[in-house]
Amino acid sequence: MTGRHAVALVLLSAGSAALLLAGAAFARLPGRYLRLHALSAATTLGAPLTAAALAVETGPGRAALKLLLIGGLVLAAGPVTTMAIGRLTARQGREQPR
Amino acid sequence: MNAWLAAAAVDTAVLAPCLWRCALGPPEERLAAVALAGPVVTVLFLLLSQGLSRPSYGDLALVLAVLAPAGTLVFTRLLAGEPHGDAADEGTG
Amino acid sequence: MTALIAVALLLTAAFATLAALTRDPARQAIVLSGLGLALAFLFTTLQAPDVALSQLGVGTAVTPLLILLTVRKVRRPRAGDEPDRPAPPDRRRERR
Repeated sequence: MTGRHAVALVLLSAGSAALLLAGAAFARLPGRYLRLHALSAATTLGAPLTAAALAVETGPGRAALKLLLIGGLVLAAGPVTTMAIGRLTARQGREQPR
Repeated sequence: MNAWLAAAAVDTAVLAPCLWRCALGPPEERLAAVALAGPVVTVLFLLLSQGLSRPSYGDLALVLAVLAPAGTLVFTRLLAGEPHGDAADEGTG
Repeated sequence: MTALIAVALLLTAAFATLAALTRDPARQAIVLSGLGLALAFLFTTLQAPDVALSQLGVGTAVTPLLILLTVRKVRRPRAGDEPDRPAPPDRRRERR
């Protein structure tokens, strides 16, 4: 139990760090295409890692499966959203050349 | 205040850049800010559900994980035909 | 927990102020979507998950969608115009 808790805490800190990194990147990066990369960092690292931490904490069962499903949903939806916003940015035709 | 609520309190800091970027710029940049806020709030729901030991709060995260990308895709479809860049540029926020 | 409620309140107030100060309806719809997220988070910290659930459904998807559809419908007559024209209420332009 304590080993599982330690693993969960490690995964949780990794997910939180990824989310904080994404937030800092979203605030700091210049150029709107670069800021989209911050978005994908949050969806592919932050949310699934946190969901995995919670799934490890709850242990095997349906609750953990639901948590992993939520993480997988965010993971799958992230690139789609990023591509859609990138295409919209390109189509609006006012993008900076970077 | 257990570790999950502390992590939730830390992760709310990510919403501040979202708010800032949501205040400036053309619609697609604001849309990127909202699209970043979606997964962050999903994670916050998950952490609250574990930290308050209410498993039913996980349904909120599930609903948001489905609704937030759908909403963003709807926004991108509807904003694509939007002739922005005219008189609406002045006086925003 | 109190800190979380305080942060959620501040966030909601900031998003609401921003939504009130934004002039362009299309951008306002996006800010309104963010306000829906912040409100749902506030309701969850106040331990009202059912209110948060309805707020999620209404605030993040339906209301901005309706606003955007309305904006699209209203703006369509001058979609082909020159961008710097102030777009007078001219009925001849409606047919493009």
